[in-house]
Amino acid sequence: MNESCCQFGPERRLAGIITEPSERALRLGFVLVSAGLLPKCGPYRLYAQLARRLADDGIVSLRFDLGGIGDSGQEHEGRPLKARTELEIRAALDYLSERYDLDGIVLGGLCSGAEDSFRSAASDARVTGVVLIDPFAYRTRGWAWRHVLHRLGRRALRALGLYEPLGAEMPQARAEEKRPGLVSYKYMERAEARHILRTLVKRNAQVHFVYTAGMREVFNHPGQLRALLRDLDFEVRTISNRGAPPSFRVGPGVVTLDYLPRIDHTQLLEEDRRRLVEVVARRLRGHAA
Amino acid sequence: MQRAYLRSIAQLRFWKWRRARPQGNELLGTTFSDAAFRELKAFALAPLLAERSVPIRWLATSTLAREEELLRSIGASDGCRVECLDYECGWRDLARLEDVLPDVRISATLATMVMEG
Repeated sequence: MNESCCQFGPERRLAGIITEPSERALRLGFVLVSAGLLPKCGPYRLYAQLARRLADDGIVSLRFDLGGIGDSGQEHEGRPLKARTELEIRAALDYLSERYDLDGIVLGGLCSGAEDSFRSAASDARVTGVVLIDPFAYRTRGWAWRHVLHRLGRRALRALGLYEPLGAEMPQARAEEKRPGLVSYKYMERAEARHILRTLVKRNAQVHFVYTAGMREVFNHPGQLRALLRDLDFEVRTISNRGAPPSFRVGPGVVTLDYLPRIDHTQLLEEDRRRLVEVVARRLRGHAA
Repeated sequence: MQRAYLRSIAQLRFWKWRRARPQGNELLGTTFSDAAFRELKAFALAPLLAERSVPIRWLATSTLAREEELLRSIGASDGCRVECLDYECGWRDLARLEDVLPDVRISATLATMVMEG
């Protein structure tokens, strides 16, 4: 494996790291998009670990900072954030596809990085797949019942002294909660998500969803993804084997889902990051195959 | 803080609680080697500062009195001083560990302190 820094974009203001396998077994590229305002190493270095793990499978990857984050300067100043982000992701795709002979590129990221990847994938035919870790999700009736049960369980554990929400023991933190957050992120609207998903599956792109417990406030069962798929005008057919995570064939494209209900949103624990990395690596191996 | 984090995710892995405990010296997203961990635990600034009188510029975010007390406790010399920006960064709040700080003049103040020499 070899890692090198790179600069790209119209004015070379975007900074990234290419992780190249020692032997390119697969002609697949992977671009990781900034998660929130975090730099290219990802939350607790998730992106760095993921890129290195994928190099073991022969996949070349580029992780980079969106404009104004980490080492990247602002490109396309004056344009709205969505348009700027799309241009910057396109610049990353240009950079990777100019340097490597690839059969396809997968875009991916966590949270806002997932949604930025999803939007960009819809308008760029070079993207053959997306990996969406904790993207948009929409509550269903089933979610509400499961959430009530979960809250009851949580209360019982709290009464036993085994569970304590973060910040509960810090009066300062409680006071801060009342202050408006620095960044308020709004997930993608259902109509937009449905439209993009339809575009991608029609184009035969593969869409890999990964949900963690960090999305529990809106997603608490793998069946919820079916609800989103059902809105599409495609036949939904489960093609997973017994015991394997769900995978659906929707029209010509393939949608997969990995639900990790014991892992939190930013995976502070090494074991959790390793688990997530393996889940994504398995999906990308399947994608390349 | 690490213990607080583990308590906060207890509800996610109650049945695997034993397995949920991190291996080795894993603290707040970083894993330390045994040697590094031992050195960190044994690390003390005061003896080092007593040996060399290094002029320290100390930037505090809120709680000025506490920071000044801390600076005195490590044996800082008279030429040292604490400057304070009145902004609660939540350094000890695990829920905000990865938050990006807004521009509250931290970088600019640090740059000025460095240039002062």
